[in-house]
Amino acid sequence: MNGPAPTFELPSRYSVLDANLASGGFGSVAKLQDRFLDRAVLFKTIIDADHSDQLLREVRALSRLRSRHVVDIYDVIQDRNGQIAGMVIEYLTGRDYSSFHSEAAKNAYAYMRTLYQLAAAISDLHAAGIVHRDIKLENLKDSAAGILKLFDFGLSSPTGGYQTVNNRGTYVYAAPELFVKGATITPEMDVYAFGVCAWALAAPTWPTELCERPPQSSSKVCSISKALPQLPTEIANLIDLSLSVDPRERPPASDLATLLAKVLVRNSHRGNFIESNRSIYELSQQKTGVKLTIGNLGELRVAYDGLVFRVTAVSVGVYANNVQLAAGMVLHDSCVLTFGQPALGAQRQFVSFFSSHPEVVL
Amino acid sequence: MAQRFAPGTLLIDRYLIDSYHNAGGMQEVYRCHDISLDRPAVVKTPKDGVKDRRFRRGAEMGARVNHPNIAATYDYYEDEDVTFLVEEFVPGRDLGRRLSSDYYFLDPGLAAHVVHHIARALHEAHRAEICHRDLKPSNVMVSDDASLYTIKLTDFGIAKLAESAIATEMSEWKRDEATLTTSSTLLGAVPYMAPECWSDWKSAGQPMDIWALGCIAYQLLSGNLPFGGGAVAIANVVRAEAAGIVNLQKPATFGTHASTIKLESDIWALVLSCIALDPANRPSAKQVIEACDALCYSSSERMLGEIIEYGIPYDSGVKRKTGRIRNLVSKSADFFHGSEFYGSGIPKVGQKVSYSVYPGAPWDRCSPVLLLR
Repeated sequence: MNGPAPTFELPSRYSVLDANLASGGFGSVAKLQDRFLDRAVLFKTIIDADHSDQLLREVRALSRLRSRHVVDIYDVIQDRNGQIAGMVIEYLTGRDYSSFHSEAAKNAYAYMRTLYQLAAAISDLHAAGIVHRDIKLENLKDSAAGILKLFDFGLSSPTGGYQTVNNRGTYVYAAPELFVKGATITPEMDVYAFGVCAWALAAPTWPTELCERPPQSSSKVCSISKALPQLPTEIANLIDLSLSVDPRERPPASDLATLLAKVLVRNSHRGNFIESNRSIYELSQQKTGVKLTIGNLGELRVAYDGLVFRVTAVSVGVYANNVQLAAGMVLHDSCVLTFGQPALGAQRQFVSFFSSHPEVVL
Repeated sequence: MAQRFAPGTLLIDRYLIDSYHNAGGMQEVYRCHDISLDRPAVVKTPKDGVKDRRFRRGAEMGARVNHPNIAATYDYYEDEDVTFLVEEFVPGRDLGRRLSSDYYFLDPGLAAHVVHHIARALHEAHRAEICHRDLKPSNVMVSDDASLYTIKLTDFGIAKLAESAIATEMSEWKRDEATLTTSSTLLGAVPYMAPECWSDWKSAGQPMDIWALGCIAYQLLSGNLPFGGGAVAIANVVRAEAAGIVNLQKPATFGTHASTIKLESDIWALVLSCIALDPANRPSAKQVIEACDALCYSSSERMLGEIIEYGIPYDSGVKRKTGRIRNLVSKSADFFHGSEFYGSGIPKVGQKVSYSVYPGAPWDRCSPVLLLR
C-alpha cells in the first residue's frame, strides 16, 4: 500500500489479492480473500489519520442501513489503539456505469431501471436519516446478481443541521446551495446529485450550465429530454425538477422511486372483468379498450393507458364500490361494478374488476 | 437440550448473544448484537458444536449469493471450541411458523407474492450454481406484517450439513423404515422432497428445488402438504411415480371466489408444472419468475382487522352477505362482501382477518379478506 506503514495488522483470515485496487483522496482500497467464507471482499482504509472521522461515518452509515441498493459491510479492523483503521465490505463484481451513456439512447428502459435503483437507494438512505453527500456515477456498481448498489459513504452525514466544513464532494454533482459558505447539508442535495447522475447516464458530456460555479448561474439547464427525447414526459419532468436551483422544488427521493417504478411496469398490467365466476373480459396491452353493456341497466367503457384502467364513458347508474362512475375516473385494483340504480334491488347486475399490480423485477 | 451459548455470552469479542431463538434439525439459532458494527445479527451453530467441514462449506455457499431475497451471510468463525456463522437478522419469523400460528391457508394473491419472491431467490442461487437442497417453509424468513412484505431464503449453510445427514438417514431408511423418527433431519425435508431424491440423492439437482417450491405453493394455497407428511408422503410420491401421474386435489376454496378464478387457474398450472415427476419437465427458476410475472395479483398493503358484523338481515328476513371489519390499528370500520372472504364457511363476528382496502361509499371496501388463526 502507499503512504506510511499501517499501524494495524490485518487478521490472518484475510489474504491480500490486490493490495492497491484503488487509491485516491485519503485512503486506499485493497481486494482481499476472506478465507473463512472463501469469498473476495474489499478492504477500505484511511491513510491520513486526519480523515479517520470519514471512515467512522461510513462504518456507522453502512451498519445502520439495510437497503438492497447499498453495499454490505462485514467487518471493521481496529488499529493498536482501538481506533477504526479500516472496514471490510462487499466486493461488487457487476458492471459499472462510466460508459452507460452510450447505451442509454438505445435502451430507455435500462436507463430508467438504473435511475429507479439509484432513487430507491437514496430513498432508503433518507428514510434512515442519512445524507450520502457524494452521489456520483463513480459510486455506483452492480452486484453479481445485477442489482445496482451505491457505495462510498465517506462523506455521509445524519440528516439535518449538519454544516459543511470544507465543501467536500465532487463539484459538478454539488447543488448550487452548497456553494454558499457554511451551507447546511440536506437530503435535497442528494436529490440534486441524482439529477446530475441522470445526465451523466444519458450523455457523454455535461451541459455547460451544470459545470458553472455555482451551477446554473447563467441559466437553468435544459431538459433531459434534449439528450434522450424518447424518455416519457413525466420522467423527464421529474429529472428536470430534481435539478431545480431552489431545493424546495426538488421532489423527495421516494417520489422519484415511486414514479420510476410505475413507468417501468408500464403496459404489463392486466385487468379482469368477472361475472358469475368467469372472466368476461381481460384488458391488457394487447386489448386496451372494452365496452360493457348490460341490458338496459347501463353501459361502461374502460381503456387501459399502460398505467391505469380509466373510465372513458359511462351511463348513469353504473357504480364502483357504490360510487357513481364518471368519465376520467380510475378503477381501483379491486372493485365491484354495479349496473343499475339501487332502487332496482335484485335486478341489478354485479361485475367484479381486478387488475394486477406488477412489481419491478430486478 | 442444553443450549451452547447463554445470553450475555460474547463470541470472539464481537458477537454478544441476546437470546436463544430456536433449534432446527441441525443447528441452534441465536439473536445477537454485532458490537463492531452496532447492529443486530443472527448466530447459527451446529448442534454438536464441533468444527465441521460441511457446515463451513454451507456457509461459503451462502456467502456466494447476495440477493434481496436471500439472507446475507456476514461472517463465519471456527476454532477448537466453537463454530458459528453470522447472518443478516431478518425481523420476523420463518414461514413454517407463520403458517402454523397465523394462517389456515393464503388467498391466491398472497400465495403468488410469496412464491414470486422465493423463485427470485432460487433463480439467483441457481445462477451461482448453488442448489438449496433443503427448501421448506422453515428455511424462508418472512417479516411479521400482514403483507408478508419481506421474504428471504436462508439456511444454505445448514442445507449442506443437512444434506449428508439426510443422505445417511436415507440409506438407513431404505434398510429399515422405522428409522424415520420425529427427531430425524430427514423428517422435515420429506414433504418437499422430489421423487428423484429417493432414487439418487446425490445427483438430484436444481429441479429438486423447483419441486419443493411447487410443494410450498400447494401448501400455501390449500393449508395442506401436497403429499402429506412423514412416511405417508414418501408412499404417496412413490405411488405417483409408479403410476406416472401426480393426482393432486385442488385446494378446497378454489372455484368459490369469483374474483380470483383466473388467478387460481394460472397459479394451479404453475404448481402442477413444478410438481412434475420428471425433473426435466419442471420449469427453471427463471421460468417460474416469468410465470409469476404474468399472474394477475395485487400486492396492495394488507392490514389486520376483526369482523365486527356479518349477515345482518334485511327487513325481509333474508340475511345480508355483507359485513364490516374493524381495523386493529386505526379502528376504522370498513365494508366487505362475503364473496371476498377466504376461510372455511361463512364469516363470523370476532374472527381475525387480514385484508386490503379500496375506496368506496358509504364505506371503503375490503378485498380480499383472509381468515387468520
